[in-house]
Amino acid sequence: MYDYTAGKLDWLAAGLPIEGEFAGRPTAGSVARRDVPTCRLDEPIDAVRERVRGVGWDACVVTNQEGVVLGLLREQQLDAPARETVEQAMRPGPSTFRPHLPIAEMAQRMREHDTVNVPVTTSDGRLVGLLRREDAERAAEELHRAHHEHEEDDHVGA
Amino acid sequence: MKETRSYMINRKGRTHMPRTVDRREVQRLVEQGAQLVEVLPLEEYEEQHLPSAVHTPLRHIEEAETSLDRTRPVIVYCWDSA
Repeated sequence: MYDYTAGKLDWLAAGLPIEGEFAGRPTAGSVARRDVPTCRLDEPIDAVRERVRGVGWDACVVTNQEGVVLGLLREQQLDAPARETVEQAMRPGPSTFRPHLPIAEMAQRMREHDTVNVPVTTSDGRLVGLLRREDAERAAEELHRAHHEHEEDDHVGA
Repeated sequence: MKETRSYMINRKGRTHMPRTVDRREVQRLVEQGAQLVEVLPLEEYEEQHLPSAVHTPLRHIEEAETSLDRTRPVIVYCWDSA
């Protein structure tokens, strides 16, 4: 007999698959963009800026070799003077969110705090993706619409 | 999972100490055929559970042991360690 003491919360926070009614629901992890550019602390900011904007992004997540999030570069940080490194320019220790959080909750939180984007990480800090507010709000709206249509169908059928 | 650990120690006067495992070990054990058992309330289990996990309320875990495959390891879990 084994005891997985860290439990279901640990499993969810690690972004691992689940079964059940919530399995298909959009979450921070499922909506986060996994193609967000990443960079290292010692890279020159001008090289990162060129690379990031060259692929159509306006943000970059700073990680170490293990993929642990160390910082965030948004528009303002990407415009730092060319002589600076990523470490000098970045926003260190950004707020991060776990993959299992419901998307409606994330959208509301980002609206309330006027947040443009947030890194989504596992419980051990590894990057899952970058959740953009526009994606979170769109997914939350689609979920709300689908739920509302389902309720209407139930009402009609009653 | 303090209740489970206490139960296991006192069952039938014998000491059964479940071994604590982390999620990597859970994944490894499941790959090798271990059975997952969630002991949270049924509603929470139905909302979301680990893949292939079965449900047994904590108070019925002794009965559940008779329905589980005794040739395969069993991993029980709750919400967290609190």
